[in-house]
Amino acid sequence: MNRYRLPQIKRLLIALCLSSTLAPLAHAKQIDLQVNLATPVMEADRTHNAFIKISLEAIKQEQPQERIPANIAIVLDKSGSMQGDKLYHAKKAAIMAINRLGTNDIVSVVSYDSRVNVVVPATKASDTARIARSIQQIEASGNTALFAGVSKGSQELRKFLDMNKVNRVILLSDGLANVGPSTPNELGKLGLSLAKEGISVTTIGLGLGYNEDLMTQLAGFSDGNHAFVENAEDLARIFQYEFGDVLSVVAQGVEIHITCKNGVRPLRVLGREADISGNMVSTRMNQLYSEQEKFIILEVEVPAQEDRSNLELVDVDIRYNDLFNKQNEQLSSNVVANFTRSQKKIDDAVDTQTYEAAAEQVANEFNREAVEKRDQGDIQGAQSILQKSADYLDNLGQTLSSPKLIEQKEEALQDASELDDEQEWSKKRKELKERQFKRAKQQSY
Amino acid sequence: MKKTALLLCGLILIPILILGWLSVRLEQNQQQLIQHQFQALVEVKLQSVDNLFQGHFQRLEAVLKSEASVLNSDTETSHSPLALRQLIKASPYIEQIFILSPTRERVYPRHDNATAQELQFLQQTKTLLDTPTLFAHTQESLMTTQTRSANSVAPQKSTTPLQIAQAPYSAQLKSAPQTQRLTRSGENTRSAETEMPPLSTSSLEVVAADSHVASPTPKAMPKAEPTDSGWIAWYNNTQLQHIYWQTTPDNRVIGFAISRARLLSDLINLLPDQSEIASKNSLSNAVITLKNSRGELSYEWGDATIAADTLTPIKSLNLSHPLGSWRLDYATTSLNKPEQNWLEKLLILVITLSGLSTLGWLIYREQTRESRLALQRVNFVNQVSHELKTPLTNVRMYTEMLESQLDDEQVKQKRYLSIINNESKRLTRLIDNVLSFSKLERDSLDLTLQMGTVQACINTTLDAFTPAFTQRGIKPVLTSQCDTSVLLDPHCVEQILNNLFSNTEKYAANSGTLQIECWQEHDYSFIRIHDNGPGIDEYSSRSIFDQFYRASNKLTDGVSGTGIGLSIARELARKHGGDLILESTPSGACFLLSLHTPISLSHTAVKGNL
Repeated sequence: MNRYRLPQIKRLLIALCLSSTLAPLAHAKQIDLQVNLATPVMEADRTHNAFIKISLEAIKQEQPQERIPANIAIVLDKSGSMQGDKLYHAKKAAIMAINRLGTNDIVSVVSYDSRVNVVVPATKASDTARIARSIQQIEASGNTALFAGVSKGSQELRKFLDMNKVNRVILLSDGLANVGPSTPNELGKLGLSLAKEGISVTTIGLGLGYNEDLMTQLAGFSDGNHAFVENAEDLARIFQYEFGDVLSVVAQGVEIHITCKNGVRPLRVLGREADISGNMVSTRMNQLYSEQEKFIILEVEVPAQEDRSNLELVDVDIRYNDLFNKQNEQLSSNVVANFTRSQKKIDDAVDTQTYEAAAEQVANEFNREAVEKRDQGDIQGAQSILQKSADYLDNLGQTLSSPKLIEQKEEALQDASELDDEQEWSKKRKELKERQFKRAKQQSY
Repeated sequence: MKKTALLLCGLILIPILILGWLSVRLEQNQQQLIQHQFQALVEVKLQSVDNLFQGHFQRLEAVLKSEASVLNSDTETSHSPLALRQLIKASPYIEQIFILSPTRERVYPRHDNATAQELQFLQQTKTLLDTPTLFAHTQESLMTTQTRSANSVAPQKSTTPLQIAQAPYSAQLKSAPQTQRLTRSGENTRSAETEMPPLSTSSLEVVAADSHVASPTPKAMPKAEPTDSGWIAWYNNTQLQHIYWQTTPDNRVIGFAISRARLLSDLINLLPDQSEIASKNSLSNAVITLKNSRGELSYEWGDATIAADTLTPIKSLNLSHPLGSWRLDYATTSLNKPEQNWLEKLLILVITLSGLSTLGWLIYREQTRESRLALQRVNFVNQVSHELKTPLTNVRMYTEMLESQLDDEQVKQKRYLSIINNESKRLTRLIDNVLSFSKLERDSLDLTLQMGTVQACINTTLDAFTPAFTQRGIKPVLTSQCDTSVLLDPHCVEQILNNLFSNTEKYAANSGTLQIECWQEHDYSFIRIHDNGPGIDEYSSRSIFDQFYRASNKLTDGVSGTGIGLSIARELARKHGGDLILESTPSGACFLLSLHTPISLSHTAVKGNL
């Protein structure tokens, strides 16, 4: 186990070539990379499935730093269903949130029904009163051209697109997209494309009418946040959280490359989308927030090893854009497993925190499968999956004596019992999707 | 009166109708013209959108070209999967990349080393990647484009049917609009668009391929190798998936699958949003919709007050390749009808109508007043004539009584009395004429038919005129064959004769013989009266039967007359089923009077046949 990065000569040389200056090395790194193995000591002479947690956390800085400027596009659904309270609260929440922005920030407001209206073109958030007036004039009517709304919102961002800014589309919708592309897949593709430009989309689903798959896909592929807001009154709170997140971004464009070594085979990445090709795993996060841990859990198959041997399992290579130093930074680390025949050594070495995190993600995957089953109408199948999840959590929770996992077990059982309530399913599904999303992405709110 | 009113109505209505019709026609023409112009305008509008899209594809092409050239320069011989994946990760436009070897074998992505996404891509594009002909230019197409080489930069459209023999399916490639344009590098590239019918092997997928052929320019440029490139619009689950491909200098094919969602998003961003429309006021009363290959609404923009789904589009434009099956619809609520024009025309019509009506009404009123006055006058004359008749009868009666009581020696007195008698007879005739005239005018003259001979009538009249004739030196000679008793109105016949003889007396004084012939044929009696007077000249003869016409010449000067005699005579003759005509003779005047005189009452019906 290697807690700190091990600067290797080769990597250093690459870094040198890339940055062509030694200056960035002198800077204090903003990001702490940790690569942990849930079971750092494994039983010898048999193959294992091991969980590797690659976590990134922004280090708290000693002296307060200037905030990273934000470039935000608020995309508001003003379709007929938003009429009344919903739109009122949405407008209020948006105005309140915009008031938090400073003069260096850029904001734009786009509203959409059957068509799209750029209410406030991208502008410095200095004259908030004028922006608020424009927002107040939005009136509800028509259909839901969600795709076009997001398109125009991202177009507004592009006017001031800057890798050193936090570029974020905040989408609020309460209904099904019915003008233009409307499948989760298509919106996910759009999200993926936007992520490549450094734009994240945060999706806020309001009420029980929206398509949670679409919203989570869009947010997931672009690495934004997702929230399910049942009551419009809560919008203000959610907007505050979201803006809090946006305003605390410290790094962007985080690319994670994992190379499995010594015959270790990558099985899956839990929670996040990742490309697995041979022994290479790569994924990305659009941003890292201050004082928030983001991680991915990689499950690998470790070949059988002799007793008392060491094996380097993976090399992790991280590149990101440090927003404070406006530099491309690079971190790397690796993880080594030990092999023994002593069960005690194995048990003692278990990294509880890492294992907990992995178990949480595994249960999250179970949860996802359960929803899929439930979508197919197989309630019992779904329940049995959740039961399996609960058993798994219970088992591990006992072993690790982790109250967190026991709690999650209870949650799984609760979910299982609520699956067959047809009337509440729409709401339940949205809750589940939101929770899955938040777990997978370690969303702060 | 009614006739006049009808005539006036016609006089007013006809021009109004003509005017109205003309204005309607004019309006229709104008409408058509406006509609035509409008349609053209709409087409230009839609075309400009299409051009915007084409511009986007050109920009995209430029981006992809530069990406490809970076890839090519990095690795002269082979493209490393790492670099390709890096590019896929970095480029927001590219969803997937594939590389085909010079022998058109797939080099990347490989099945054995593919990510889940790559595998999915391979599955979706299996047929496409197995059809290497799509990425190579057939010799024919190159030939056609070269023979067609023109130096014009303007787009030139033509169709060239191409046959690809080596295609796995014997599909005829059709409709290849060839566009020539100058690319940034200065090469002349030509495109040959090809379309294929649905493949029999995979029913879901249809290929539309387009290729640009870059022919070597005469001036060899440093890096101007002939490279093929083109757009393929690939139907993937009925959605268009765009693929841009290019051959590398070492004859590999590098293909970029464009992110569909991103492409649509970019296209949408080229189109205006509602606030832009509101500020420019560019689309009043209209809305444009963009429909994708499945006919689904992708984006709409236009007048905020109009819902597109309630209208049928007045104009549709199919977008150019590679958005071949996409469509723009233009819908509008009004064709900008110039309603003011209608109002104007209506106003003109109303003014004309009211003007003409007023004029017509004035004329009508004037006319009715005139005729009322004339009627009053006629009535007055009638009344007076009637009033004159009674005393005249008395005068004549007592003159005759006095004449009969006179002795033969009282020659002087007798002469005076006969003059009185003659003059009063003349007066009677005059009054009869006036009365007949007014009766004829009112069409209220009825014949009183009774048995009698024409000869008797002639004799009676001649007797009455004998003194006057004698005095004026006229000698009537009667040749009569009319002694058969027939049905006639003696009073009417006598009045005709009176008028004729009176004319003779007036105008043919001292002319000697007045020949009167009389004969009968079938149901008709004829009387010819031929004097030897000065006659009637040809000019006057045309109108002597007209009312109030008096021939004006030396002859008539100084002779009194009303000008109604002959016209009454003719009218009466016609009333009697006959006619009165002027016969031409070398000397004097010759009138021929014909009368319908049936022998018995049963023959009267024949009267109408004449």
